[in-house]
Amino acid sequence: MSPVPIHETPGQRVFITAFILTMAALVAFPDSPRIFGLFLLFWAFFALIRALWFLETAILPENSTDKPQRSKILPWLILNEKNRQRRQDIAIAARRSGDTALLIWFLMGAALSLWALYLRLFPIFPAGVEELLTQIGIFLNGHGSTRLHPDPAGLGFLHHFGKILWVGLMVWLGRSYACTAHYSAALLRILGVCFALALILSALSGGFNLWVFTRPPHWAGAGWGMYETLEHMGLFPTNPSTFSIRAAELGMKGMALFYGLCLWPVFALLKNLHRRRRKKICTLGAIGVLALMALADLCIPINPYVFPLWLGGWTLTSILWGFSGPSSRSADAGFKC
Amino acid sequence: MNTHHPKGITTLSAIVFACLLGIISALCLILIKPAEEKAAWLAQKLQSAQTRIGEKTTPSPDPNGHYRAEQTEDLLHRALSQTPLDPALWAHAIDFHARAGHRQKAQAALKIFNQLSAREKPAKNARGERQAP
Repeated sequence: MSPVPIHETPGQRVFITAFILTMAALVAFPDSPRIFGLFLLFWAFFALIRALWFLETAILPENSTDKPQRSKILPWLILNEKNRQRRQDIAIAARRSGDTALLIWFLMGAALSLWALYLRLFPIFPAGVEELLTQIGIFLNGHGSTRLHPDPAGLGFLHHFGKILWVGLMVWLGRSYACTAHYSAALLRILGVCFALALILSALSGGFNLWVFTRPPHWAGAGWGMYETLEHMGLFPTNPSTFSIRAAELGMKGMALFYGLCLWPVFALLKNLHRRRRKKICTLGAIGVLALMALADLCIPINPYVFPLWLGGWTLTSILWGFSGPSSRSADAGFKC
Repeated sequence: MNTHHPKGITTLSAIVFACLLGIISALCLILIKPAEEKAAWLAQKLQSAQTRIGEKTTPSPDPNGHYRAEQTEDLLHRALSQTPLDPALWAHAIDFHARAGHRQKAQAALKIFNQLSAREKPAKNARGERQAP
C-alpha cells in the first residue's frame, strides 16, 4: 500500500478545515470571548473524542488477554489479523503522540495554571490598587479582612486559562495526526501560511518595534487578566509587549514557568537533530517557529492577533515535532485515522 | 489480575482531563456575562437603588435597555455624592471608575464613601461603646 499524505484521510481533512475556520474566526472576531468559547468548546470535544478513541481502540484492549479464535475459516482469520494489526498501529501512533516529553510539557502547563490560580486567589497588586482595595475592604467588613478582586466574575482568568488549554490540546492533536500519517508538505504549507498571515497581521496591527519591553509596576504578579485594570489606573503604560504584560500578571516565578513551557519542546526536539535530512529540517523548522514566536513576544506590542499567532505557531510546531520523530510502522504502511 | 500499564495511557488520561476542563472553561466563557455588559448592569442596579431612596430625576434607558455613557456617569455621580448605598454597589461603583481609567474619581468616591460611613457609624465613647447619634 502506498503512503497516504496526511491531508488525504477524512479525519485529517476535518482537522485542517476546522483549523482554517478557527483561525479565520479568531482573526475576524479577536475580542469576542463568546466566539473564543465556542471554538474552544469545539476543539475540546474534538480532542476528547480522539483521545477516547485512542484509549478504546488502541490501548485498553491490550490489557485483556487475546481472545481465542472463534473460527478457523480463512477469511475470518485474515480479517481478524488485519484488525489486530490496525489496533497495533493505532497503539503505536497513540504512544508516539503521547510520549514522556509531551506528558512533561502538559505537567509544566498544569504548574503554570496552578500558579496563575494561586495569583488569582491571592493577587499581589501595586501599592495604589492595594490601598484602594484595602480601604474598601475595611469599610465592608469593618476589619479589612475582606479581599476584593477587580475581576469578580473571573473571566480574565478563564480566558487566559482557556488559551493555555487550547494550545495544549492543539499541540497534542497536531502531534497525533503527524504521528499517524505520512510526511505532508501540503499540510505544512497550509499551516505555514496561516502562521505567516497571523504574524503579518499582528505586526501590522501592533507595530513592530525592536524593543518594546516596559518595566512592569512590580514583579510579584497581579494575576491573569489584570493588565487592563492596571492600565486604567494609570499604573501601566499603553502598548507594552506581551512579554511585559506577562511579567506584570504572572511575576518572576510565573515567567520562569511560562518560558520553561516554551523551551521544553526545544530540548525535546534537539535529540532529533541526528536523524536523516528531512527530519532534521523539520526539527530546525519547529525551533525556528518557536524562535519567531519569542521574537514577536518581545517586539510586537499587544494587539488582538496575538492569540491566533500563538495558536498557529504552536500547531505548526506540533506537526513539525511529530514529523521529526522516529518513523512508525503505521506511517510507512499508509495507516489512516 | 493483569497489572500491565500500557505506555501512553497517562498522557491520554491527562488529555481527557484537559479536554473536560476545556469544555467547562468554554461553557463559562460563553455563559458568563462579559465585562462590557457590566456597566449597563451597574447602571440598572444604581437606578433601582436611587428609586429606593426617592430620586425623582433618574434618566431612563433607551428602548434596548441600555444607558448612554454620560447617563451612567451621571447616575454614578449622583449616587456617590448623595447617599450611602448598598456597600457592594459602592464597591462596584468605585471599581467601575477605576476600570474606566478615572483614578481620581475612584479615590474621590472612596473619600465620600469613607465620610458617609464615618457619619453613619456612631462615635465610640471613652469606654469604647457606641453612642447613639
